[in-house]
Amino acid sequence: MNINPRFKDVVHRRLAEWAQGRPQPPVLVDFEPWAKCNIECKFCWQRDPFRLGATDYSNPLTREEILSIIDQAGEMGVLEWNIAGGWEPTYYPDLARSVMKRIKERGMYGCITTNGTMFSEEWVREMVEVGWDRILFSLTGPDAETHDGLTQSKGSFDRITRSMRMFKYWKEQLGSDKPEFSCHSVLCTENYAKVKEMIELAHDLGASGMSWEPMNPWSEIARGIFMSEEQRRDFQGYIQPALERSWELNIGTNIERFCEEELIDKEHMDVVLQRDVGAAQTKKARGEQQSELDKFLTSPCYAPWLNMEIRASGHVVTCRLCDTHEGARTVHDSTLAEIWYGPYFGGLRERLKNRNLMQYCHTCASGFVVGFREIRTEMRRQRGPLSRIGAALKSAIPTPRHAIPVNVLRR
Amino acid sequence: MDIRQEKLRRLSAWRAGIPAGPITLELNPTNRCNLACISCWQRKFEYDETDYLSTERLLSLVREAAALGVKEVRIPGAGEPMLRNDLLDLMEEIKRQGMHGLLINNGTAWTKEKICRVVAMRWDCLTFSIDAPEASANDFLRGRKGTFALITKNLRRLNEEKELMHSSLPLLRFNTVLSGRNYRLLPEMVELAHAYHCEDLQVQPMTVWGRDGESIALTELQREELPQYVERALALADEYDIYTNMAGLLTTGIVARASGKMDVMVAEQTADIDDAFMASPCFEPFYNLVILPNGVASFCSISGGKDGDSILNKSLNDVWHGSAYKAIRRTLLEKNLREYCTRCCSVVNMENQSLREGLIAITSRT
Repeated sequence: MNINPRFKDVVHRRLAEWAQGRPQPPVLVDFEPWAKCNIECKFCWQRDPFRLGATDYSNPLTREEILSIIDQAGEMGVLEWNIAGGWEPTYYPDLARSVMKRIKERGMYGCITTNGTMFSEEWVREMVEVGWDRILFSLTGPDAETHDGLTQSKGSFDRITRSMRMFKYWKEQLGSDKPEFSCHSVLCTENYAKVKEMIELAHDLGASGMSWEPMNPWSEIARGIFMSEEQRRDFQGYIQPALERSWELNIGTNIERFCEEELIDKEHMDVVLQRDVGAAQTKKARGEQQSELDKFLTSPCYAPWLNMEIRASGHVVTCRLCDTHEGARTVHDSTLAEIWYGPYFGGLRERLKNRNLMQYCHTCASGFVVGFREIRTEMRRQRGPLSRIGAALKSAIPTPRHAIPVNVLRR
Repeated sequence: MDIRQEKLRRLSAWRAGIPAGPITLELNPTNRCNLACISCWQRKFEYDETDYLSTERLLSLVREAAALGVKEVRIPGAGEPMLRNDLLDLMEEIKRQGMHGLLINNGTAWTKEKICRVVAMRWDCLTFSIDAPEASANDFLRGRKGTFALITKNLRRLNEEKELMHSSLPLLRFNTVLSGRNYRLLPEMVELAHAYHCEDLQVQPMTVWGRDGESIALTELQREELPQYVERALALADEYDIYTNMAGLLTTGIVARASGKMDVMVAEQTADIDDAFMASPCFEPFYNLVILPNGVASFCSISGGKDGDSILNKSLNDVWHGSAYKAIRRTLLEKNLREYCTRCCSVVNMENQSLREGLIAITSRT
């Protein structure tokens, strides 16, 4: 769950309510409509035999169920739908179009992540007319050789770039600024040295941003393109030129995030999540009683308070990384509200408040980690007026050792 | 060498009517910048982004400065000096000449090689302009997303290199421009400084240069709230043994006057002083020589080279003892200010006041 900047205030407001014991609806629904894809990306998590084996796709969602859960989400107060990649959400174009239309009819913000190979000119025009909000194109290289090599699908580069050009054209023709579209890529051995070129290509194609997520080595073939420690260090040299290019082109990017090298090594993200709340956990470390608010503030993850993920099997879990449906209920036999306010999500929330991560959290996305940090910073800031602390400290302040330094610098 | 003592010694000489050479040279190598800081004065003015001074001329300037008795070369951040490819050569020459070196930079343009060189040459002090302790506020104030991540990465690498080389140099310093967006974050700024082994945190009240600046200037209400955050930050700085100028923000009224009322500030500071030299509103033209990227010698960083000579066809010595400098010194000794002095950099004013107090202490001892 990446936090949409539009809804940051709502996220903070709802979390503040949760922190005071007042349950709130989810902000975001991640939706996996079906388990089908037309290309075979080397890095895809659907190549993970464990994940695939853990999921029962024998009872997929029906069209009626899908439209019903969109309606339910709208009524609950969900603000945003992300029709997720992982599989290809445009695989069934007619159904995909109905889903997208219904999301917009219910007044929610809509984002779709796609490999961009399935769009027809008519569909593109319709999406512009409907005012679909956002498309995330999975562009994995700045040229056909890199992109097609990673997708293992010859011609996929031509098709994705053609789709983006069509969106750019029809937005201009119809005078619309929607859908906003940007590119997203998995960072791996094949493309880490081409990040600047990818920013330039995304800009040329009319994208508003170019972002990356480091790869999880889900499968044997993925391990072959997983960045080594040396390559991760080498990658540091590509960040600054790419970032500066993004400034010049005025295109968004998240590449600066990987200045923190730990966020590239996706096998130990649970350590990062725990460490992020470690410093704030002094009460627990000292064996003192923690208030509910303390616990809430030091949760390593906020997904179960903000996000639900509806899988193609009908299971509702908390995030994209969840690799088990144990204990999870399905929309085949429960309403979204029953699930959200029910024992499964409640249990996850309690677990996280006690800083117990799930097994799969070691694969957490860098965007989530960064998003949780921002949430925590904001919550601490809103927690209480510093003035009280300031007043208490007044008497403890020593007499001015803090004179003006010898060599005063200036800006 | 204790630069402050040397400054006081030379100012005492000037007071006795004996001209002394500059002790500091402020060398601005470029106006180019890769950021777009909201508070920056460069947004107010049109700057020629040509780098006039060649590498050879910059290096010869450093040698001239050493011969003239300059003890410290400051490379300030009006423009991002690190964007000049020859900057590290310049810094190495400064160290070869035995001078103290200070560089102000925005922290975004370091490479591994530059980090190794700056530690190996035992550069004295690196000031990083950083305006908030977290990415969203800092990047907003610096005008470019990703700035915070780059700065913190480079600070990490600098600390690693210093550790590897068992070097305490360069000393790391933060410079923060105080605004409505960060005044509540001062305690966290101290935490950040501590986390990155910065020994000094300078907080500079903002001078408003344009509409963008106005949008983040401290309001009256925020100025009233400021002391509680400063006090908390001071307590933390004391705990972590971090040097800071923040105490000056509490008592002197400089925050309210930083933008356009520095003449009032100066008038108050000098009101009860009878001695003509110590009552000078500013001492900069008596100890500091500023060279702009176009080669013009400026009386200070604010004057922008107005009425200054050029070193393109004169030596540093000729400029320092030339008619333009003589005129500004005369003006100041008559307790007059130039128009641009109303927007004097608050840090410069604080330094002037500190030197004034030092001079008073010396004369009272004698």
